[in-house]
Amino acid sequence: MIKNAKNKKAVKAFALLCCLGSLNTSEALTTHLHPVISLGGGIAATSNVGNSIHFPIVNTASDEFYNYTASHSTQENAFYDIFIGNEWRLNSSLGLQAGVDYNQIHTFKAAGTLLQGIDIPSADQYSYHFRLLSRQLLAEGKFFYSLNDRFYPYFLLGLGVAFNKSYDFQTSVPPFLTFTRQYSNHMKQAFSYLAGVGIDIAITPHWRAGVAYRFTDLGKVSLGPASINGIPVSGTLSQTHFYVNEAMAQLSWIY
Amino acid sequence: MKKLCLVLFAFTNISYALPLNITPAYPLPTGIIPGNPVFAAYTVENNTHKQLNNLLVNPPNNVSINTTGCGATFNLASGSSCTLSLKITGTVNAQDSDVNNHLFVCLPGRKTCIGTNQPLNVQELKTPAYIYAGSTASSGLLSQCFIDPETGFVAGSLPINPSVTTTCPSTGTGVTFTSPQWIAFTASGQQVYITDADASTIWLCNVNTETAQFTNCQNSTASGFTAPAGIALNTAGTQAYVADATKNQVFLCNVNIYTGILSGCADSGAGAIFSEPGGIAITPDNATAFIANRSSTTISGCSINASTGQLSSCSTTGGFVEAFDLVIAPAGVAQGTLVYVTDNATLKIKVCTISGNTLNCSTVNSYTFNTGTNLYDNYSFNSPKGITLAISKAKNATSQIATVYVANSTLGSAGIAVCNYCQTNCPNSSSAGALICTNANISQINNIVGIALLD
Repeated sequence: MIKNAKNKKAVKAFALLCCLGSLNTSEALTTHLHPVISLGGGIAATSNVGNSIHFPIVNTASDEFYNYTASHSTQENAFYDIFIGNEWRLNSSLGLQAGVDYNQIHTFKAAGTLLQGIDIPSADQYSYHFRLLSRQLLAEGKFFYSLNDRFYPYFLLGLGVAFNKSYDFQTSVPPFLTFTRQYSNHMKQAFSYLAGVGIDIAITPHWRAGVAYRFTDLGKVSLGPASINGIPVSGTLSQTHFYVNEAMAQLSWIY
Repeated sequence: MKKLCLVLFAFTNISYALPLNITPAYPLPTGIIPGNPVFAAYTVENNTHKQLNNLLVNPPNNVSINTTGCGATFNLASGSSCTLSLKITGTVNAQDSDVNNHLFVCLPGRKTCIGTNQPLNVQELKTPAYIYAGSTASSGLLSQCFIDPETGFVAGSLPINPSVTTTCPSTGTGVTFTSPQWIAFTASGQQVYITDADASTIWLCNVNTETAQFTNCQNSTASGFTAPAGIALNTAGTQAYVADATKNQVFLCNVNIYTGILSGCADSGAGAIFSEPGGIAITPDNATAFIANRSSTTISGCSINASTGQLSSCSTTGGFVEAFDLVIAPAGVAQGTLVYVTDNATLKIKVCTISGNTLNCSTVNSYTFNTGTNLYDNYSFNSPKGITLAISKAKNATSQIATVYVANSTLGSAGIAVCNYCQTNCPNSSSAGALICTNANISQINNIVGIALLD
């Protein structure tokens, strides 16, 4: 139910931004439509992959505790971005690009240490990791200011959905020495937002190149259900927010 | 509580030990001869600060849990340990991808399971069959002869040329035998005992899993004997009966099933009632021990106490001149459960049926191949002493029948007679059940006493 509500919220926000271009608020908005296609790419950096989670002993006769400590090391990965929308001039200086943005970041690796045992003296430490692939589909608006129709500083906002795929969970636990929690792959759809600033420079009347800094929350990330030796157990590895900073170069074509 | 745990994790010097330490108590077996179980033992120690209850053992395929020691389900107090005893009846692959085919000890619910860093890895041994002969008059020589896998004959003694002399290499490294006489293998076939009467010692050797040679021979640590002679193990391989030809006693020893070490040797309970006891044989049901009395023309049959292994209620069967050694055909053989006895003084083999602790015996007709007009000639043993048998070694055998090997000990012409139970085309109508024998002369050994087969 909560998941559906969040998805509905994201869809509404997406629709709001998409429809900005069609609002009949001024003659300029309705009479100066310019399709825009932008391709971009850059570096996405984060130290927010994974989350430290403790699964305590529930049944003292049969259970071990599992303590996952995420390493939170900084990782950089390439990403690419496609934007399709329209551009409107609100007046001679201000303008708005609004449309749909899709981007995908190369796989991050969530890693850390796992301490498991019946009690502290007999606990053992292992390493664990899993992979995380995120894609975003956003309704995005870019508000810009035109300096001599050559420089276009802007800020942007995006709201939408992130598709966070967590997969390939592995540990260093020797497979025939003891058992540990295993997690299935899982695709999590989560509400996501993006904000950023940048500047575009007109190269020709129809081409602009620019750079931007963007900050995004890819939303909730979660592995699938857990099991030990094929027996389902409660709880999984997850994090509520997955924050990423992005530096992007972009090339836009405006009709 | 969570914060407390995190603080503890940060400041406690964590010993990276599993909740249970499962380590081999003895060197682990690596090979198995089909049909011969091997044994392994692990020490299971509770590393936690709490008692663990209802621990369950998950054995690999072909492995069962002995009730002695930890058992299949057990409790273990903090810091304490027990010995997990395993019986292995087939191959075990340490690299098996199925976790269920690995040794684990689990807490109830099987979510918390602990394995071992030294898993079982037992491969099938394809060692060819050999027969071993000990003697009293060849400078302590112990010989190892190859057995033709097709015919069961000792190599060099094929029917078409039975007079060829066989050369069998000596075996047994680590010690110098004085008079190695009787030979008995452990249940796994990977250790062997050799009684050395003149040295008052029972030697224990490893059997090389590839060459079947006896290696690393050492004193078995069994003591109290004057002239150990015949030796036989119970069907479980956990106890050994040793005849002492001078003390006229049969001793009962405990067998360490993992190492073969003998311990706790003491009178079997029957007392000094025997007369220069020689060969010993145990019935397949482990109910009776038969002991050949070389100086009293009899064979003793004693009841075996099922729990202690002690002997009692001994009876005697007469009719022999010098009963030297005996062997019992196991169940499943076409002839049924029969006892074959060498009567050294009459140069005959007798075959007996079992009736409680006594035997009903008759002399076996023995024949050999003739290259002339007659198909068979009568065959005479040369001072037969040791005797053993194998199953299904007879050429063209139509069912599970015994091939009997007899030590011909006569000085100067010692060898091993290979005798097959006659099924069809027997020498005459009255000779069904006779033994058709071929002699293998062994050049370098005289006065063979005990023989044993590794099959």
